[in-house]
Amino acid sequence: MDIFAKQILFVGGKGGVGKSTSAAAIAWQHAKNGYRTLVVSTDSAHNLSDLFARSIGGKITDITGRLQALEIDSDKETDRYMQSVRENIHNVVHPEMMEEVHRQLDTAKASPGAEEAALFDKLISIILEERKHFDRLVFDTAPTGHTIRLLSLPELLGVWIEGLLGKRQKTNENYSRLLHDGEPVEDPIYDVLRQRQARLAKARELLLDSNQTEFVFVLNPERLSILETEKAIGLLEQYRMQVTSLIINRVLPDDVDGAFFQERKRQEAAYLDLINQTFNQQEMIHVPLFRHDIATIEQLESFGDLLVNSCQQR
Amino acid sequence: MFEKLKQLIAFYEEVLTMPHRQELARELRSEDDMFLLLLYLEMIGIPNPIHYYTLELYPYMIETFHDWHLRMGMEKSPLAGIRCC
Repeated sequence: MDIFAKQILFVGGKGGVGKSTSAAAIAWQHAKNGYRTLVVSTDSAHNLSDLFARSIGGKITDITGRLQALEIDSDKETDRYMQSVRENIHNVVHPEMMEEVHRQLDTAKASPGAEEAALFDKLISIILEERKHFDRLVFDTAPTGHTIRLLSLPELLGVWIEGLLGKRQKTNENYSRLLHDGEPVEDPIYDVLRQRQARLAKARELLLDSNQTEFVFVLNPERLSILETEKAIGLLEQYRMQVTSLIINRVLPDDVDGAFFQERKRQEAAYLDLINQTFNQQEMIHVPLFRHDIATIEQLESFGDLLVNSCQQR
Repeated sequence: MFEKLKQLIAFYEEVLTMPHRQELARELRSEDDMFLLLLYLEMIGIPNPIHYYTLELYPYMIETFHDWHLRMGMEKSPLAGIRCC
């Protein structure tokens, strides 16, 4: 399994392990190899702008032409969704009810969960629509818990909507059969829900298709990072998403000197052993700790080269 | 002759189902009511996983909303935003 081979890649992991750097480096390599690439940050604390040293924000922004970037702005997405609801309302609602609807929508926008839902909805539309304009999609995700929730939503919401649809369909059939002489009843609610369900099902199918989608977790050879990654992989498996590769980031190089670093190195060796024992299903890519942090495009490129080499060695 | 017979049968069916139509309508309407309640669980304090996606259904339910909350035994509109009465 090669993290560079699939059309859709999700990069996950604990906070601060190097997800954004890895995602950006992978996306950079894709673009260098001629792929039209979109790198998307789903973390509300976005890093891509800083990594590429330009303001990206809530719209698809050109980095090198072949490489484009997007930092999902859930506030903006909620507004957009509300706006589309408002527009639909004009066609169906009596003018005197309009104000009530607007008031209700404003309340809903502030309700808990609206941001998450907006983010999720944007993710779905990128997977379903933007995918057609790009060869590669790389997702720089939020820290573990949030991402697992996000990835499990298609399944959870799908089941819920399916239940609703089943119930509604039965009622509609009865209306038609018993009261309308078999004439089918028009039901916009059913139709709208049905469209939603179709989108969710399509997105879920893509997420579960291991020929198109790959999940990679980034971790450091440290206790908490290993434990969290183990849990995350287990949870994703429950939703039938397989994490096939791991990037072990910031491994101390062999040539560290001084008693302090030798001691750390000894401890790290134990953790690397633990990693090998814990994750026997996954491919591992080791990335050393650099002398400097990844701050420039050149450094991002050499980080990416390292990932590529490490993948090719296998 | 055959046409006459068909008309007669249709009339007979109509007579049979007439008294039940109201009952059926009431039954189906309460299924509709239940459905709307499932869509808008939020307002009785039960989290609804698809709350966000129910917003786009507002246009289609808002005009029946007043009758609905009366039937549900709520004298005043339970949604702060929709003040139909």
